Amino acid sequence: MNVLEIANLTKSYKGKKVLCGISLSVGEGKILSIIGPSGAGKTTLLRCASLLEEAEDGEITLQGETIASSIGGKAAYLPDKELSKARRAIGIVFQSYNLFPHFSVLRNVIDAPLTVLKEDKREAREKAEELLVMIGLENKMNAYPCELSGGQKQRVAIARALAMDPKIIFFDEPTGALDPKLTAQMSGLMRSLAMNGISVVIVTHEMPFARDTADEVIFMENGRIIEKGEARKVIDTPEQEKTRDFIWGSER
Amino acid sequence: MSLYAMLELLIKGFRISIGIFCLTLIFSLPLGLLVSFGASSSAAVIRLPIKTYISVTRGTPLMLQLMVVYFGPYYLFGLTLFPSYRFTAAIIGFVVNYAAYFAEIYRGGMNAIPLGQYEAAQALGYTRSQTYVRIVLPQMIKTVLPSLTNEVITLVKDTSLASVLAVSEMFSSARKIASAQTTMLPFAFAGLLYYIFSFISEKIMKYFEKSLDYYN
Repeated sequence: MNVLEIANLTKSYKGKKVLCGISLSVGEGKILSIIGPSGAGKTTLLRCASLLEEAEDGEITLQGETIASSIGGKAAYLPDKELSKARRAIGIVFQSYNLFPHFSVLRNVIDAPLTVLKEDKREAREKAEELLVMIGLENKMNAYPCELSGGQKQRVAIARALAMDPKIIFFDEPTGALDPKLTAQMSGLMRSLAMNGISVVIVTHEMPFARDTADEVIFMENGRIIEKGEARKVIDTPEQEKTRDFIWGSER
Repeated sequence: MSLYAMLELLIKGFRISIGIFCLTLIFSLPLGLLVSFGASSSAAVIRLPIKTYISVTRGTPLMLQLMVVYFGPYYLFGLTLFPSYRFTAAIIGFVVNYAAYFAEIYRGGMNAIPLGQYEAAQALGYTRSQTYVRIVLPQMIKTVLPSLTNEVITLVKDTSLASVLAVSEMFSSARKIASAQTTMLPFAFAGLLYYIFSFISEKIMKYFEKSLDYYN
């Protein structure tokens, strides 16, 4: 079963169409990468797909549940309460991480499970500590975000998202602040999330990263999907001319 | 009049000044928060009157506002005024005035919080009120503390304006003693006490600011 299905999504900003009918689906434990030039609408797509923003028209189905349906040319979303419940299945790792600066690393990870899911304190703490061990930051548990490097902040953001047991997790430009070694680690981390049944959606500029990490790739330009398919195939042997221009241009 | 008796009278007034100071802060700090919510309400019925209130309050002298609160009920509604209303009127006047200033400070603090904080909270499933209480307010307080310190110190000195309603706070006492004894000495003492009071207030506020220094 597909965890996320999107059909004919449209969205405009100030009269300019940013998404012109996007359809895609993400299977369980699959990694989808969205690539394309700046201004292609990748981030907007991510924000609509992760329910941060509402699309104008289109359909969104999450774990078989209809989140938005197209009624009379407009996207009709679930009521707020159910929408925020549905959001629990979604994790987001923001490009600027958006950690809570007034919380310690541990508090950042543990606060939502306690506040939102009303989890038991001890269990939540154990789970948070496990996650921090997994990302290698157990010794920074009591540090504050301002004391961490960019890569460390990003890992805390990942742990924070994972603490909510999401079914699908979105990454906006995850490799922007990482050196090659950390980028390789990030790729490994995403693969292991997928292995554990969590679906991953990545917006990225970095072709080698998308090629090595994702199962499937979508190439977008001007709010449209130009090409999609198996990651290696699309990136190594693109069929569309626009895709070729972009990918080969970026390698030169 | 002995120096001791003079000081005793001044300190009696000083106690009332401190009372005005504390009561004003206790009521206006939270009220300012409500006002700032109202001022950013999407309902114009709420927003416009509150914006007008903030604008008028900040644009007219506090002394005049105190007089309106005290004399208003008589001139507008013909109510009989009791002398015991003086102190209450002063507190109401101060609270209304300071709440407006605090509201503007809070609003600035709210605006300084990056949109990403709201989005992160939304993505994690926090409700609106959980987002405010756990994420926005704690960060807002840190941002606004230095501006609040300013207002708090101003309030120390503004308490002297209650003398316009013949509330027997320190400045009234000083003036009374000065005119009865034909000496400027009580004003000098009063000035010294105001300064000590401001100094201590500032230290306390700096302590709060420091206690939030653990992050930025």
